[in-house]
Amino acid sequence: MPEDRKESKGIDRRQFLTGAGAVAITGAIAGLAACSPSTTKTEEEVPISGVITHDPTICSGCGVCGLMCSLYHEGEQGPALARSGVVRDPFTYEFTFNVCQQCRSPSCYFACPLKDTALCIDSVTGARYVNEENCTGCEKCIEACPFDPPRVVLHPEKKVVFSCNLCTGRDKGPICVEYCSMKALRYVTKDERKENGEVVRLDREYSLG
Amino acid sequence: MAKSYGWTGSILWVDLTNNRITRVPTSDFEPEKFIGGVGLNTRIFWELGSPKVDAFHPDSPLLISVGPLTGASGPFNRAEVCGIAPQCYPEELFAYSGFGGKFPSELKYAGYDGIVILGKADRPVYLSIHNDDVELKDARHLWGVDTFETQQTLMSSHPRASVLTIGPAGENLSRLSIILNETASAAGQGGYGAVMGSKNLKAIVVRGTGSLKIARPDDFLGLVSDRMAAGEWLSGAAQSWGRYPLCGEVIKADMQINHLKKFAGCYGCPYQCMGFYDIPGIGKGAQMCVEAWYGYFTRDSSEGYWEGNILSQKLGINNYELLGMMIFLTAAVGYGAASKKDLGLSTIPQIDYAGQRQYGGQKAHHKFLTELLNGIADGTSLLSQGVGRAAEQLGQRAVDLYQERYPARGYTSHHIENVGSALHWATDTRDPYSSCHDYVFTFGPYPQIAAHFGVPGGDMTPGGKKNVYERTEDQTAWVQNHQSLKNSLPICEYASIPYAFYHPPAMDIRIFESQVLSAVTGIDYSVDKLWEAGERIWALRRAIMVLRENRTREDDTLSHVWFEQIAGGDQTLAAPLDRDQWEALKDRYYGVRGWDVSTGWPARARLEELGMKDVADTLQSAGKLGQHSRQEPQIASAPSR
Repeated sequence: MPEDRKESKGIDRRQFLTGAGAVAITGAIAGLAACSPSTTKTEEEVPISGVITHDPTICSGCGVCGLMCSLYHEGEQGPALARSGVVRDPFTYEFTFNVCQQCRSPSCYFACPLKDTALCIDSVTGARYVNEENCTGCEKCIEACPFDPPRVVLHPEKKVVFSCNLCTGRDKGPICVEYCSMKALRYVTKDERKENGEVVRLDREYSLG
Repeated sequence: MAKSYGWTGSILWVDLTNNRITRVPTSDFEPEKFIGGVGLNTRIFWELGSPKVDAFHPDSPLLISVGPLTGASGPFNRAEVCGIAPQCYPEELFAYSGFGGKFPSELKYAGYDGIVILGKADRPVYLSIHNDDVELKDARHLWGVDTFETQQTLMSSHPRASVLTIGPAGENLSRLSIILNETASAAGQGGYGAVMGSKNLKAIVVRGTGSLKIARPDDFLGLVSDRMAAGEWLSGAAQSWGRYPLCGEVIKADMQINHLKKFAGCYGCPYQCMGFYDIPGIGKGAQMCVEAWYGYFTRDSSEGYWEGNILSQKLGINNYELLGMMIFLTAAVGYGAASKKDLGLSTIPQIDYAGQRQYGGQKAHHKFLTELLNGIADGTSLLSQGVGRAAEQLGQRAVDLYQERYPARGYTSHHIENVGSALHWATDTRDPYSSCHDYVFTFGPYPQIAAHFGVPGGDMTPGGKKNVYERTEDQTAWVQNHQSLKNSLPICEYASIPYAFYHPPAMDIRIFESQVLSAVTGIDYSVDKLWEAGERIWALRRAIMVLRENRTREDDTLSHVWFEQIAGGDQTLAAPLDRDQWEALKDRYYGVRGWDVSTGWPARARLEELGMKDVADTLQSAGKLGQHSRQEPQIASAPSR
């Protein structure tokens, strides 16, 4: 079983006696209102999305990305509540960054029984995202996600799923990118992605030295 | 206390003797007043009765606490170890030692403000913490295994956990043994690895999937983004230090060009002040500062330098003490105060290969390091008990050399470059320079910044270093209070020097720290309330020194050498300390503290103002309460030297 799923299911409710803090930054999700779901799209009709890329050659694994993500979206700090995050190996200093890849053909979207109501596609950024208000927590999107661990995660307290929405609506773009002190993260907009193809990597301009 | 903002509200209480694990509310120890880290540990130690036992006695507690800020994004991912420190000499004293890495945040996310470890297991065990699931597990297969392999083994059976461990040095009760997390985050000074070893506790594994609750997330985000906007935080601003090993230019260049793989650092911190290096055949690891200890003695051999670090980390030996030990043993053998045979060495490269390039090269360094470090780790070397205890065995000439290099309590000289630092050293229980660089990086060189904080400064301007006694008690008290806060909030030393990343008056470190603590905990800490907490923690430490360790005014001093000559290698005072001015300075220091001037014992009035009537009562019952305080400071009339 993928690790993130183990985590979310194994968690104890005691960890999440959150009080008001959990949703203190309500403004954070205001941007979602920009989404105006239309009729269900076919595979060809799904627009391309922006995506966050990670350069593992310069990432130092600090995990600030995930902490800022959980702060912005949940009002708390902890990697288990982050939509993105680094897995740290302190003995090799090799790190993987797990975030929604904003697939060209999003299996999660097609799997969602409430597509365009729960799992939506943003008309501006193209982000595949979850409208938590309408999510029933059926987890079909998690099962459909082709990545291991899945990039859609069940919120242990709210029992709805969450995933990266590219901080749609946030003026400065994705918060993880803004606060990455190594400049290992980059937000590739949907227009850039169209020009460059699916795989976008940072060049070495930010590398060591 | 219910689970609250900042603090989790729960402390793990582990009785190794009876294999019993319980949880104690953090509120039992007044976290609002003692914050966390050193403050919380000190309060717990006090509540345990400041036990008068040896460091290796089962009743000697090992205390590991995080603070309310631990787990937040920023330089807050620290934990503090406190307990009876075997490294202190001639007597073991209650001391402290902090570390970063990943473990501290993971402990917070698992739901704990601290761990109290008492007793002794009947066989090697490790403590496994996975949120609410906590148990002691068999560690016989890990006994004798080095710190890197122990962590990797446990991380393979506990995915995504962080591991705190001792190496062979701790198992064999070396007083120079560390407790290590990852490759370079250690509770180094104090010898706490041996306390773990004495309890048969090999490691602590923690995995937490909770979070840090932040009372005012918008305020917190604002503080973080302000630092970023100022170009001082979350901008990689500090990447210029640790990536250059603190040793000779040749090694520095070679390591940076040929062996640096990544920037590195603690979890959640934007600074990433370390470098991660790899020399094939020797090993991979991070280094920031003192990991370069052997680089001063290799004459440009990067391999020798790096093996010194990797081997000591794997065996679990205190790098800072190795730095002092190298100076001692080179002098001791060089001057005939000890022989190589006494020290269990067949070669000392910088003596035996003095004329040669790289002192005989990697082969010679490897031989020396293997003999020295294995001798310390397996307990066969005299030096495994520390230089002070070794010198006693070696004779008077070795003791003389020890006193020239070790100003107080068994710790090697470190930044005693102004009178304020000397006073701080004299009134602490260990080398305080883990967390008091405020002197050398702010107040000494920048008198205008010192003036902003209302303390004297400018005694270490370039080319203008001088011994200043006038009002120095204010400087020391300020830094000691700040140090107590740094080690309790916690905030990393590197990121809390008043002038490094906070440029007063635009941003004053006191205001920043009080605002961050308020934002995270939801409790309004004014600067005054915060600074009072710093003083409270320092005063409680003093009460423990007095009650447990019979500390008096006479003990607040340095080795006689510091009064007779310029001592301490390349970090020295401008002149020897003047005994008369020193004693007058101590009078004023006790006055500022509200302690008894003749004994140095805390007095009732200030303890009660700090909310510690119980401490005053206990000291009184023991006949150790100061009788008078509040002596008006007598400003020394003598001119500054």
